[in-house]
Amino acid sequence: MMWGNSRVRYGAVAMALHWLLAAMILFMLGLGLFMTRLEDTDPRTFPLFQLHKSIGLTILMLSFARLGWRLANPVPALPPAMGAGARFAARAVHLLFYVLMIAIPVMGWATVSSAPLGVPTMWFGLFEWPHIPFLADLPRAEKRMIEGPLATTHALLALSMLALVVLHAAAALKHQFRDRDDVLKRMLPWTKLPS
Amino acid sequence: MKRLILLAAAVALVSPAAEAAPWKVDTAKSTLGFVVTWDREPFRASFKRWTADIDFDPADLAHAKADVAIDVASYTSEDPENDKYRVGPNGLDVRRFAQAKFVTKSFREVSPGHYEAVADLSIHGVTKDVKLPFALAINGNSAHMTGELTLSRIDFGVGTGNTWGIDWSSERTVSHAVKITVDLLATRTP
Repeated sequence: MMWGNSRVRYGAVAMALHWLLAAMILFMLGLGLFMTRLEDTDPRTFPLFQLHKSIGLTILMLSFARLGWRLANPVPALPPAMGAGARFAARAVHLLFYVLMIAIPVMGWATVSSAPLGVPTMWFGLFEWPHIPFLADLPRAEKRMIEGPLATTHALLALSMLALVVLHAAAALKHQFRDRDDVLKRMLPWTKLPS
Repeated sequence: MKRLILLAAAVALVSPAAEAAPWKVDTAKSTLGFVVTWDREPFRASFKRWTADIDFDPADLAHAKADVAIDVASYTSEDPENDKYRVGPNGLDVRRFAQAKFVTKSFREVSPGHYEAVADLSIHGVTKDVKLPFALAINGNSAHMTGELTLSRIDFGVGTGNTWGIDWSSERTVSHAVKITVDLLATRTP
């Protein structure tokens, strides 16, 4: 197995980042929906928010790493049978994933930084992750006004991510079972591809 | 002579009640609150439900007493989100410690119109001896009392735990110093 991408398939690093982030993102969508439905006074709420923040910031860092890797590596070619519309759709969805993978954690970080509560974020309880300074330094009266809209933006972007995941998975299954091409296999480890 | 003795006895019986000087506190016009520094800014909250049983005559401080019971969960500030911290074990833990009490033990006059009450203050299941200096202005049948005292939340074991590496006993989020503020309006009970 190669570390980097080839023109035929994704390498080990791209695959690891893809599936790790996929698992984290799906978990975070579920966790986000669950924890925001708990009462604030529920003893599970505080630890779950801390967990959500810790994973979210990890996703942000991994997404930057993934973006760097993507820019530094060739992108495997799409099957020649795909039309211009399908090619555009595939690239647009991939681009949107990168936008959302960075924008959602950034908006979450902004929400936390502007919370009137002002509690620190401890990354998996290990060290304090700083707040975004210009938001954390606002007077509490202003934080009170912007926290809600920031949290709503974070949630709406997360729901867009959910829609995009469904679209992406449906497209992968279509390639695998209807078009019977190698699009899905390129991202699956331990599969044989004609080279 | 017999009648005089009877009269003296009657006065003696009645006099303890006559010495008492009860006041009725107008809780709607009074405020009982606290201020802490929360994330570098003052955080002000006031209690909505509390009762005060006050018996006070400046001329008879030996018999003065005040008994205040506070429903801890009833405080509100401008930040409903922050107020929820009264519930959890890292805050005031109101599920276990619903009531705070302030029961005076003695009073002394510091200067005309200024007094100091020594009291047992119970918060979060911990009782401490505190001194509350206050100013009192009595105008006919109404009285206005103002006072404040600063205590350390740590002395009462409030916010001493650790969740996810966040040490609540540090002053990073909430200061140790809690300033209790009292502003009472009362009328003499006939």
